[in-house]
Amino acid sequence: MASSLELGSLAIVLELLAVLFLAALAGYWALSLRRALFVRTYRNQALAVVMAAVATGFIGLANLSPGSPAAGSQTGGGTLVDFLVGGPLFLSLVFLGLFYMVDSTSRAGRLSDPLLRDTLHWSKVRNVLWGLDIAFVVLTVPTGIFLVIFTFFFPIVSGALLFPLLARRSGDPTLRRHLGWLGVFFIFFFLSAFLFFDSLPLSGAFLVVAGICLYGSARSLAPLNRLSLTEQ
Amino acid sequence: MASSGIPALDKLLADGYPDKSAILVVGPPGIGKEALGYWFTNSGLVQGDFCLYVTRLSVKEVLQDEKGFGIDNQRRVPLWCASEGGQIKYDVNDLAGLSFNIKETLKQNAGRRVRIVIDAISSLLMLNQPETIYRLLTQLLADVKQYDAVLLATLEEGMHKPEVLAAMQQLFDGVVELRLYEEGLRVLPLLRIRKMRGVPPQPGYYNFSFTRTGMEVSTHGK
Repeated sequence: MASSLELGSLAIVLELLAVLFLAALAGYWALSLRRALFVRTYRNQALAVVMAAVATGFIGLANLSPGSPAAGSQTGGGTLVDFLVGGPLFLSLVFLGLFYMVDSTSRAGRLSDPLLRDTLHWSKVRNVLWGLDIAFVVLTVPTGIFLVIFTFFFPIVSGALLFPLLARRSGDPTLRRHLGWLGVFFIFFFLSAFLFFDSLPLSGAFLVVAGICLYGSARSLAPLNRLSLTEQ
Repeated sequence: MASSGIPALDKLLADGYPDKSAILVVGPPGIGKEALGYWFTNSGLVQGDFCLYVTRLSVKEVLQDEKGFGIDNQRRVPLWCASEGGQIKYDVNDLAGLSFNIKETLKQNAGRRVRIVIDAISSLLMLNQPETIYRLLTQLLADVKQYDAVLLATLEEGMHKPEVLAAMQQLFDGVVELRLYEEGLRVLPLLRIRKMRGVPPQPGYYNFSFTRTGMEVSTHGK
């Protein structure tokens, strides 16, 4: 019994390390690409991946670190980890960051559509959604966890509607690959952060898969070449 | 020679793009290919050349993008062929109209140096058979050479098959590559003059970055 508990704890610690490593790697690549790009739309797209990497790292800390309630802490809700990364305001900010990711990706997606279509009238709809999303984030402070559910729906619903359409309309295979990775990232991120957040180590495994997908999306932000030694 | 509008690039090209030439700028989205078109147009307008800018975006979007590169030239403007806000309406499905408008511009400005920037080739290639676009460009480039004109076009990397990219590079007199390279754990934007009429082949790569006053270029080497 004790050894299976120890094994479970070891698995959770390994998952946490894997999530932090993958999030750091994804964030690093996105930041490197951001530095190498010069057009604002694409720099924002890379920045959004950095934000998603930070969110993934924090969700990992919130769910998997030894001090968190989900990981079996007996100290209740008073740890520093709970305070910093477990509160409703933090969670709603994480989802606001993911909404920024959907928004910036859709703006880059429009430019890769040869017909420059404004998918789902996003250029107009986004202003309304940003206003509502920010209002919900502000309102989570007095109302607590209840409104976090709404901030969670903004990126998941808009991403689920936009990404397949953008991928179909885009003429850019690199962006299609990026959207594919992001779509799978979103699924596993929400499985981990919402549906199975208290089922460890399953939640951690989902977050590790989300981290892998995020790294894939960071790598597919732009086509990368390799310098051949003979050409230098 | 027609100055590129970027002193560092002019130095690499021995004073600028060759007269009566067509230049292709290849690179991934976001690397700043269009900036070469903005500086080229800006330099032409300052020198009194006639400039035509063909884009699939709206004029407002292009001006916003130009500002991001530190270009804010409100007094001198090119002739815009754009999807919105231009003197000529750009219609991605009207290849004949596009060809006609460019030829007319060349004819009407026969006594002047003309600079043409086309920032729409990739979308044309995606919506049409490549052979149709090769024919259109072959005809256009022949027209450019009849007049005192220089044409600069941009092409997205990663959106077209390698054989299409190779065919496009064959059509143009000069090819400037702006690409992202992975070097260890770093990503570097590097410039390369793949070919340029009248300039000896340059196998080297150059680091580049855009500043508010243009572009900085330095030799890349280990």
